[in-house]
Parts: sequence; structure tokens; C-alpha cells
Amino acid sequence: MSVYERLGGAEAIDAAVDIFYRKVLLDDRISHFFDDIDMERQIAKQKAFLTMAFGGPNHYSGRDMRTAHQHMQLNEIHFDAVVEQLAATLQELGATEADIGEVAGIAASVKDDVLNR
Amino acid sequence: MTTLQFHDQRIDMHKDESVLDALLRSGIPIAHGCRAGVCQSCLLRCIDGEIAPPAQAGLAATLRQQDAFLSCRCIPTGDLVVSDSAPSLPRVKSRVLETDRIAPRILRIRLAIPFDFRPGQYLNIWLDEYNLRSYSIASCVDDGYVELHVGLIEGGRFSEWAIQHLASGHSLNVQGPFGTCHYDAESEDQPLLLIGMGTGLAPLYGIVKESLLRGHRSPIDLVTGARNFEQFYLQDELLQLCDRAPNLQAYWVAQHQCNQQAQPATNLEYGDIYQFVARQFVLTRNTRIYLCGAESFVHKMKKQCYLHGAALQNIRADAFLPCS
Repeated sequence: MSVYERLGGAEAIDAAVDIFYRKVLLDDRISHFFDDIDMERQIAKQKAFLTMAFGGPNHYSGRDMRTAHQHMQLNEIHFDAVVEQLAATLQELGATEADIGEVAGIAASVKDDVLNR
Repeated sequence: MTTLQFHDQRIDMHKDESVLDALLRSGIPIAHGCRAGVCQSCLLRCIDGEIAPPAQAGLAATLRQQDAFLSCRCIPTGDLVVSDSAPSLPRVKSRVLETDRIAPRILRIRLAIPFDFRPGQYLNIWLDEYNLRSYSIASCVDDGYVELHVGLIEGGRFSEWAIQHLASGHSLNVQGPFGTCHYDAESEDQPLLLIGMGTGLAPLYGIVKESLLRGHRSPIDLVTGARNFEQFYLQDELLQLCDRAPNLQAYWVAQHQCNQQAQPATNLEYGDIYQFVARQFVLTRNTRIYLCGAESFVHKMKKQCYLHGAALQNIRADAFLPCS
């Protein structure tokens, strides 16, 4: 069972995105990447991202992740900040250390694509 | 064999194929992202045929009403005709009932009701074939007219023409209603917080009247902001509404203090409207918030309210954009 299923599936993602989005908006290292004038669209993107990060159903390819982030010129600091906020979100949702480790593993698997390395 | 039609292209669907996949393999570029029904970038509109519920899951009611659907989630069970164009409402004629200069820079126009609407929605006035101006509706259907508050802009095309030529008996070409910035009957237990800048008060005024008409008993807080005191309008009408409705409170926040003042209004504050809202109101997931005014104000206040605990689905906003 994936973290996604253990936490409760789509409903859990709704709760998670509310926590995660507020955290990244308040994190000066990365807030500018999420500061979309269209907040609803940004939330939809975050839902898709969290679904994937929690091991839920998605169809993102490595190429999708690479082209989506290419123009942002991200570095380690940005990536680590997002993972940090992901972990903090999971803690608030009552996830276990093992769950958090699993999600960090999924994030690590897309790191090169996201950072365009 | 099911057929998919997109504009003038006819496509034979493969078994269990989504509309998105069929269009992409036929060389038709459709925006898409997650392919999982979450990011909503693959929205198309159904013109003819049946859309099963999974293809509309997670879409706002207004989108569903317009037959929008997620093309990545849509596996047709029968023939479908789809399009990527937004639905278009007809333009109709509406007679001007009265015009009134209710403030130095505000013209109030009352029109015969051209279509059903909810206060707070907006309509387009077509100046000619290609040029339009959008205005929010400040009245209720029960009032018997559509009321608009036109902010008069020096040199503005519609402003100049309206001041000189617009009079009762004239007809305007209007189209609508648009927008989700309106009262919902389901909101009757929600505290309402309405914040508007300048003529952003127009739709909020309509929403406040509508909510009271519908028997809204929970608190209603209306905040009007302006650069200086002279720009406020409708204060008397708002104070009268407050007298009749104990759950309604009105506040005025002016950025700058001026030397000459008219008589001070009740609940008048000087200062930053963001700080005022932050310290005056406690926001919860249940608070219904309406925001109207210039785009940067709407976005900044929306973000602030969200960060202070409001639910995004409970924030209805209309940003006023300048027209050339």
C-alpha cells in the first residue's frame, strides 16, 4: 500500500494540499514559484504533485517533469526546501517516519529531472 | 465504433481511449498536464453527446453547467461532439431607465432587466461589434432593474460617451450574466466578509441586499476601501441597511487623511486595508469572502485571507481590469 492509500487517498490529498500550499507561500526560499495569481490553478497543480509524491495514481513521465521545471532554473536549495515542506506537511497529517522516508524516496527519484541535470 | 468530432475533424475512437489521447494522436494540440483529472488543463466543452460523471469530477459547478469536462478522463460511450471554445451568451438590447451622477466620479445607470441574474455577477456592454466594457450588477432582480456603477475615467471611451449621451430611453447592447461572485442560498449559516475598493462596492452592495432578502442571519461585514475619503459613495444607503439589519456592519477604510473632511462616517478608519482586515476579523474555513476591485488588490487580499485560515473555495473574487 502506498502512502497515498494509507493516508486516505484523494480526500487526504485535499487536506494535504491545504497545508502544503500555505507552507510554501510562507517560505521565502520558494514562495515566488508558487505565487500564482490564479490560486485555484496552482492548487490543482499541487494536488497533482502531491498525488505523485505520495505514490498515488499519476502519469507523469520524466520528460514531463523536466520540461515543466526547465524554465524555472531550480537549484538544490529550492528542491530541498520543497521536500522539507512536504515532510512537515506529512507530519501534520500524522504520517509515520517510514511514510515520510518513502515520500522522500519518490522525490529523490525525480530530482535530476526537476533540476534538469 | 464511436466517433469524436472536434470542429471539422472526425475521429474514430479506439477502444477505451480517452478524448485527449484521441485528439493528440490525430495531431490536434490540446493543452494537458497530469493526465489524471487533477490539473484541469485539458478542459474541453461538450457540444453534443453524453459525458459520464468521472469526466466532470472535481470541476466547479459553474464549469459543469457550461458542459466543460476533463478530456483525459473522458472515455466516450457514444458519439461526441466537442470544442475548445468558451460558450458564448447572446447580446440583447436593454433600455436605460435612468442615469444619475451619484458621486463626482461615479455614474449610476439603471437598465431594464435583460436576463435573469444574481447580484454580484457582471455583464458586458458592447460599445460596437468588437469593443466592450464589463460592469458588475449592484441590484437584485426584486428591485426591478439592473443597476451599474460606472467609474468615470477622464478620456475613457465609455465614460466620455456615457456622460454626454447616455440618457433614459436609450438602448444598450448587453450580454451576461457572468461570474461567480454572488450570494448562494447554501451560505445562510456562513459569516460573510465583503471587501471592495472603489466601484468594487457595486457587486458587494448587490450581494449584501440579496443576502438580507434571503434571510441571512449570520454576521455580514462589509468593508469599503478607497485612497481617500472623497471617493466613498452610498454611505447613507449602507448606514440605512445597517439600521434595519442588526447582523450587518459596514466599515470604511481610507488610505490617506485629507485636510478638509466631510462629516466623519461611522466606522471610518485611516490606514492600510490589509492590516485593518487582519486585525478586525477572525477568519475560519466557514467564512464566505467576497472581494472586488483592482486585480492586485484582489489577489493580495485573497492570498492574505487564505493564509489567515479562509478556505479557497469560500473566496469569491472579481478583479476589475482596465480597458483600452
